[in-house]
Amino acid sequence: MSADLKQSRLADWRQRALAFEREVGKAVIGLERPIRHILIAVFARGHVMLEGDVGVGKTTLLRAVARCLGGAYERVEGTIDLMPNDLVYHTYINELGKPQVEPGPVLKHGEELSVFFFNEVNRARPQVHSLLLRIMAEHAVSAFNREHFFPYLQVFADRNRVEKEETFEIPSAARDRFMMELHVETPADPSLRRALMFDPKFHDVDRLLDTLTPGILPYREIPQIAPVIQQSVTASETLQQYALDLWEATRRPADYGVKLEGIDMDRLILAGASARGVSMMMRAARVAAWLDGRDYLVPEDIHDVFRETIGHRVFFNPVYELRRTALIDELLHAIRQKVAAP
Amino acid sequence: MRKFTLPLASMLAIVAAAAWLTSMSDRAVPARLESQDGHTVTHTMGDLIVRDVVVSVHGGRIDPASLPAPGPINEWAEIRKVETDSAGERTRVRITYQVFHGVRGPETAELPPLRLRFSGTGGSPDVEVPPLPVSFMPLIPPGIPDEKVMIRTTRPAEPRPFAPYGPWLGLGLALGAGAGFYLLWLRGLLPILAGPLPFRRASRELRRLANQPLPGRPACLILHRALNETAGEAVFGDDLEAFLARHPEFIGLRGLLSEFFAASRRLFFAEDSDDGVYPLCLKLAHLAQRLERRRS
Repeated sequence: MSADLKQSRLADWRQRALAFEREVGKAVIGLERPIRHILIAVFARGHVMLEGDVGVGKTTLLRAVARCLGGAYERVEGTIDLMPNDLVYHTYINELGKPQVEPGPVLKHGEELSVFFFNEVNRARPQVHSLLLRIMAEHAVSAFNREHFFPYLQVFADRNRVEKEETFEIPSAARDRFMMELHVETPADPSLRRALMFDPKFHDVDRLLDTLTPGILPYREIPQIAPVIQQSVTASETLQQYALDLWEATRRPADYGVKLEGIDMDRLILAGASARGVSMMMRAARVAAWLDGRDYLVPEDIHDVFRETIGHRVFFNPVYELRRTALIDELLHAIRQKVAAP
Repeated sequence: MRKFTLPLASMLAIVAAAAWLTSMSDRAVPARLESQDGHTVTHTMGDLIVRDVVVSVHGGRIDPASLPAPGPINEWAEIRKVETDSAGERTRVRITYQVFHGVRGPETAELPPLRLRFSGTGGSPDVEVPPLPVSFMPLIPPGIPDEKVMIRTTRPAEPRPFAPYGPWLGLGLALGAGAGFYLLWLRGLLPILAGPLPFRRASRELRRLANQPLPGRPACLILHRALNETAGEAVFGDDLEAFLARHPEFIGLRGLLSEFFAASRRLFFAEDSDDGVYPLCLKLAHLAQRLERRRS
């Protein structure tokens, strides 16, 4: 592919991506930042964990994404008695009184599965997490004596933050597989809140989603365009050094002069961001640069995705882990303030 | 030889018998109270009373366990100090009391009797010291109610010579001042020692780059450092409005600062040429140094 053709193709895809973003924004208002991050994750080929209170629009957001993305959408509710097999197949007695086996939510759509939403993933058992991890990492699952592949699959999961009983905390290795953890919150703008309360179009979600243009992004082509985006956006020496410094600062913040009120910085960090984590961060940052119409990375591209890609990859010592929600934002903000570029 | 042995033995026996008799005669004399100072002075609350007791002893010694111990002895007196000294056959026991007897009129009281024990004396080893009568006067003259009492003014401090303390005082002041300066310097609160302000220093460093072949990159770095130092944190292009909100003195430079961040972005991240970057940095530093001010 010639350079001009590649540029032209990238420009077309960028227009489609921005159109996708606008279309999804019609269904969920006040969530511009999560929509932008989901768009980034789609083109960076990363899975996303959503966090947020009940009823803030997570499911509507994902259904809108699935509709505008095209392909099949499946949703599973995490429960304590859910077993891995329940994702793969289910058995029942058919109308002729004979036992029958049907593909489960993962296999039902075959390769066409593009969005798989696992609601309240931490209610499911570790065996289910294990299966999910394999699907996320390899885009494949073994069933009925053969491998099933899902080349277009993107996994979204939601974690219940409120209840602790009958939940299984997702291990750090599993969390590391998610490219991003997004916080979805009710919009703060009173006019948007008023619209959510009084505008009838937001009361019937199914009808609302029907108004969205389906398949704006040809999902089958995304796996081909994603590496082109990564190759087309360059990272200068200064930018690479900056990204390295940020990574190092997540591991040894005190070395960069990062201080948090009342925190022993030498004891705060148990493990900094992983190599896979910072690699995902850079993949996401490149997509952010491309969406911004540039073919080179700037620090602001990393800032755009720093919290979302690194926040769940920094682990605190147990004494500080209980205050994680407050401390992680403070820490990442302080790192951003202390590490300079150029 | 035998002729001399008997008289020598007899003589030794006589000397030994004489010594034994002498010692027996010494033991036979008991310890005896010679005197106790009488007190004619009238005391008031808080006075110290010194009680001197003299005992004559022949060859004996006072048993320290029989001496009264310092501390309260009753409701109105306590022993502050007990001293003993011996000269020849006399042993003096000096007891210093402090009395807290509050009276409304003249009164007499007694310091309690003492029983002193001596060892190595003949007869009874104990010496009885009779009680010591002491007269008290009230602090407040009789007939005046409490609320009418005039409190005596505080006695002024005694003048003491300053000369011996002068050098120490000087040394202490010098050390204190040194520590104070060190702490201020440590916290960056000494403007004189803080060096030039960031943009003034940047301006000076930028002028030194004038003859370099490619001054754009180092010039940008110098200006970024000055901006970061002024802000107290890393400032990026997207942070410009927040920076101006915190440092309104630079609002007039908004356009130039935007231009600078755009040029820096092209130079360091798009790896563009540094054309025109150096003059821009020089101009910006020059204008910023006029506007910058020290942080309080």
